[in-house]
Amino acid sequence: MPTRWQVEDARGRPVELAEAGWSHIIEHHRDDMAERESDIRLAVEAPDHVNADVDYAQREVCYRSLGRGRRFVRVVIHYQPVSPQGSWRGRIITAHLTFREKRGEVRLWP
Amino acid sequence: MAIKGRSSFTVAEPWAVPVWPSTAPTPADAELHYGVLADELVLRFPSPGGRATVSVAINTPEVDYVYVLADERTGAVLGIQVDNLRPSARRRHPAWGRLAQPRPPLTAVADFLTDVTALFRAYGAGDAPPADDGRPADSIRGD
Repeated sequence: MPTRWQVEDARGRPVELAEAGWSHIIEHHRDDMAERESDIRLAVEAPDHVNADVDYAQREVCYRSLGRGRRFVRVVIHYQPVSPQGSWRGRIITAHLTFREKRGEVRLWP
Repeated sequence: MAIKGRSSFTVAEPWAVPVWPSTAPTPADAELHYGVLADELVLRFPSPGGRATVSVAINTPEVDYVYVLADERTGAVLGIQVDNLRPSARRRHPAWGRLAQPRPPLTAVADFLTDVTALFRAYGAGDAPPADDGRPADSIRGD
């Protein structure tokens, strides 16, 4: 699966956006996110905060404000262990604009 | 809150007060996408392209799980998004599980639209208050 780019998240783990993940984002949120790839990247590298997903244990959710107003970029990352080192690698599975943290999520960072 | 020495201003956020379409969208015209990996469902109503939206949560009790896609400039609801469809279906709306199947029947899409319309009216979304239709919120199927 080709990778578009890879960055480190706020806790130093590698996170990638694969072409498949980007296709999903564009298909589901085309008019919102097509021009926001750099915001997605920033939300992973330098989030305002990171929450645990409500339902899936290996997912984390990064939020980054777009500045003026209440809009955030919300990026959902699925982490998997990397053998044999025991470290973790993340893959972006979706991203969209939203206006508040999802109620029910638990703060992980900072 | 105004910061001392600076003028305060109000940020126009029409998307924060979503407006449900006056004409009910028909299931046959809606565009349905389900992403298996993200477990995310998006249903788009017919609309001209190029209209950016913000996902605004319906103010269901305790947890956000269903959003309306509100036009950034007008607040018009252009679609629906469900995060983590499979757990949401298991816990709250068993019938929604059918939407994770390839080419779900139109009746499943129609039932979903009916359910989300009722949730929007009962709870509101973002800064939009519930619609006063006199129906108790607990009469909504599955919630």
